Amino acid sequence: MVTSEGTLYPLLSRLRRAGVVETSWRESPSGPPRRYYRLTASGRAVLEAFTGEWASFRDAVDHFLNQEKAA
Amino acid sequence: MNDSTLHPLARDYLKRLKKAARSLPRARRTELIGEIEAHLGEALPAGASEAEALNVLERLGEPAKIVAEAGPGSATQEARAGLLEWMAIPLLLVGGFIVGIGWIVGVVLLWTSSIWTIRDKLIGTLVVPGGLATAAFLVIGVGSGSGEACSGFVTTTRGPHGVTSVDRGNSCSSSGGINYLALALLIVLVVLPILTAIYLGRRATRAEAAA
Repeated sequence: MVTSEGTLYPLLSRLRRAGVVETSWRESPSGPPRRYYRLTASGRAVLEAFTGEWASFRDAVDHFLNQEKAA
Repeated sequence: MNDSTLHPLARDYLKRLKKAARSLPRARRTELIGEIEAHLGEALPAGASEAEALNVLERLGEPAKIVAEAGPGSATQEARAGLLEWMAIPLLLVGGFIVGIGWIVGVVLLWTSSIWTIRDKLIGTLVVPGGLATAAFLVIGVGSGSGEACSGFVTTTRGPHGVTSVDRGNSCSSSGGINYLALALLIVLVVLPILTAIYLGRRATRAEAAA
């Protein structure tokens, strides 16, 4: 998990090295150029897989939490 | 970005980040510092109050923590020792024997690699320049030098009545002391390059294991 804003940059850098995002520099209306991130094809596939996993993970947790409430 | 456009506290923060990031491979260090510098440039105007600045820096987090996140522990394919690294180490050690050029190639490979830190690279280059070949050249140099000195002092003269007298210079025995010093230096020059090679190998495999 990201615990501070600064650790976001190493995380993004890792995603880029893993090939799930790609970056490009664009001029900024104020100040120096900015780096823009976008998903690659493989990034979209990873996101889709994760979205599926997340749904079943969420359902499982909800299931236990609701049992607790019902008990 | 120009440093002077940053808030004084941001500049101070960057200084601490640069210090903490020394352990990172060069490419990753440059990238991280660039990103954080750009972040500070956007999030912290030079004229911001001290309280605002402290808030921004606190949200950013401690430099050591950010560096740890970017470190070899969280490395992927990039930080894997390859052919380049395993060529560099033997070339640094014994490449000097290949007309000296082998060692220079080793140094170039060493500095090209992204696995080693600046400190590793400095050690690899400076301990000992030339590798084992330096010790070998020293042996040849000192060996022939002391040989000449000795023969100069031991003179055999045949007298007119067939009496052989041997004149031994005192300096020859005193050169024994110098030889001990040369021997110690020689051992150091042999041991240090080997230790450096082992050190570089360990640093390379450590990065590999963490990948």
